[in-house]
Amino acid sequence: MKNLFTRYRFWAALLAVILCTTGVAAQAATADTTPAPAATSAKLTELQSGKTTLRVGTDATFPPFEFTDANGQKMGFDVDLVKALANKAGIKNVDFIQMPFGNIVPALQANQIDVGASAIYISAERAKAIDFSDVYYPGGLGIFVAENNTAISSLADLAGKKVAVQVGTKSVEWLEQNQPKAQLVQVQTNDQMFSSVKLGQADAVVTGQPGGRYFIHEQGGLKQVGERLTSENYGYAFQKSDTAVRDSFNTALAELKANGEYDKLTAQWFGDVTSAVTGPAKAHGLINISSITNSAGPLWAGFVTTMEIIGMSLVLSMCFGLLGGFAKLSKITPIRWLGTAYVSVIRGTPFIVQLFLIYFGLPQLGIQLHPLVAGVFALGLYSGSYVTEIVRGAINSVDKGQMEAARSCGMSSGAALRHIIVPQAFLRMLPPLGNEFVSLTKNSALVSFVTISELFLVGQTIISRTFDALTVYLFIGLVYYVITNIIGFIANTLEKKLAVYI
Amino acid sequence: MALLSTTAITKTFGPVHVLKGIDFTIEPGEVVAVIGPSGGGKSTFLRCLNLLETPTSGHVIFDGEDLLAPDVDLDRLRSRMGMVFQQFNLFHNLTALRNVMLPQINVLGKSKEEAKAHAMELLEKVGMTHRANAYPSQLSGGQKQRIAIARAVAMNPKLMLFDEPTSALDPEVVKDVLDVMTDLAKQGMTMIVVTHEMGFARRVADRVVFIDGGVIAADMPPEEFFSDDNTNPRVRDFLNKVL
Repeated sequence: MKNLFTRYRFWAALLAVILCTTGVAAQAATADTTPAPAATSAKLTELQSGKTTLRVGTDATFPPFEFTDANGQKMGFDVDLVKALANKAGIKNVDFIQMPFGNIVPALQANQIDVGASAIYISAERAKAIDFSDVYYPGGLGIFVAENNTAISSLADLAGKKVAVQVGTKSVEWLEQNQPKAQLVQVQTNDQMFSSVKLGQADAVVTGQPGGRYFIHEQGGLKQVGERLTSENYGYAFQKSDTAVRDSFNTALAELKANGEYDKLTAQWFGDVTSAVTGPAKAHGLINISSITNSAGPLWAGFVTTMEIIGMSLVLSMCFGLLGGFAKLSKITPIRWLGTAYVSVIRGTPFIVQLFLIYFGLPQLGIQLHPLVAGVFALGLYSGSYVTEIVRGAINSVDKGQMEAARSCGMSSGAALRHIIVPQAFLRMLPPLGNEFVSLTKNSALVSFVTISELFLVGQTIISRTFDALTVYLFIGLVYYVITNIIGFIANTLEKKLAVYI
Repeated sequence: MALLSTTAITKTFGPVHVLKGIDFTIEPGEVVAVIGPSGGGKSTFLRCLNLLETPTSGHVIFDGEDLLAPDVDLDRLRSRMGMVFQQFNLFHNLTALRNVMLPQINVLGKSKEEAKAHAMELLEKVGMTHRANAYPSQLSGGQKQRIAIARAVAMNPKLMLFDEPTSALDPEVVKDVLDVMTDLAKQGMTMIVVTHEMGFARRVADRVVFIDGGVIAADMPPEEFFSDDNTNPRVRDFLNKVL
């Protein structure tokens, strides 16, 4: 069953990619055939009767609110609280649906989900599009420093200090406005902020208070200082029309707060805040095999996704490369020009820029691509520009006399290409193609930036939970090393097999 | 009626005028040796006959059809003209046998079995059956050229074009290839042979065409051409150098 699903996903994504390449904008088809929203109280009744399931959208990459455990199960404060609230409200079935954070509000509006539960700040901006529950947890930015640091105890003390922040988060903008004298150290992931303080690369972290407290709870070594800097609060998001469901959550929340269940959950996920602020550092060896073995399931899934991405983008890269190569060899000037422009533009710009243009830029033109489609398309397009030059070079390198001999026998140029030129060129392409596909494999790690849970992103997720960057990155590097060597081996073997006539 | 005729063909490569107006005819069954100094335009002339080079102006009429007519089926006409190259140009990725089979299958639409039977017959004639399954890289120059001739003959062409077929061969194997060509001539094949082999031209050819400076400077039977009575100064100059 699992196999069947994987295979289906592979071909579905490949088909989507091919549709893109032929100029058909593949719209992301995430919408299920959902019935139109029922009258609000009727909907709650159906949920309570178990006839329908409460669909909860979440981006499970943000511990302790929501994340995926070693077995691929969604866990976290939001997950537990939503289950408890639904239970209290008499709702029988709850299903958590993974989606990028940015898709949650649109998904609510499109009636693809009933609740957004993903550490969403209550904001006036968002409240225009959706409804919020009452505050279920106070958020806001806090300052975190090393346990033994006595120099920093307030926002003012951050002047001239190195402050680690996560790229693209609110901390960056807020500090620039409120403490412009702080030197920002911008890192990619949550855990890198804390590591940089532990390693002495930064003096302080400014990040969401719950995330910081969770780190201290899990790892220790840091403490929170000063007041919280901003006062945002977390709420659950509902469809505008769903007042009955929203109200049932608010009532349930008040009841859980009154009976002590809510406090139990916060203690479980954030620790006893007063004492956990200076928790003891966990014992950590240098290499912890358990960081890998405990997450074997997600790592395997990430590996499978990575292999799918490599396989699909490899096919696409060959298609682009053959098209581009023959375009560059064409006798028709505009086609030749197109091939040249393709290579020039794609090779002349960074891959990450192209990827972001496709995933984040195209939606502004109304072309919303599924992350996997965007990732594979970008990789194929990028690699294809190199394959274009490989194809062109290899075909040009075949002795002109081969074509002349074929044509002088009365063979068409197409037949000559098919039977004589391309088979000879293909052999010459193999070594550079092997190199190119090794590059493609390594570049595939970059598509983690568009939320594809491939090997590298799975690794980052594990690190955000275990804070064991050394073991996990070493292991992931090893996996890529094995993949690239297998590709090299295949290219070599194929070359030897085909080279019988040399 | 002439099998092939050209009228006033010229060919320029950029500023260089390689052919300056060539009128030429060949009758069925004739063997014509084309000789002349290097750079005189012999090979270009030959390559214009099956349009491997497109003449800048003029006409090429083969088998009653104008090769330069816009709607002509060039592939069909080329299949009736075999060509043998100085550098053999065997298909590197195919065995000797498959080299001789492929055009028969691809162009003439023969079945694999028919093509193979015919190919083996021809390989036998050129003395190459023992190397039928060898790739070109495993063969000597003389062997390659004999297979290349078999490949061209396998198409049952009405005309064979030879572009210096022995110039890239070691001296000791030149005779093997010339023997194959002589046999072909004896069987009545119409042939145009660009060559530096004066012995072959004298013995086998019906006519010698001397091309120099992009024009036909002499066109006569070999007895006359090689005779001491031939006082054409360009021919004398050339013969003095090569003989």
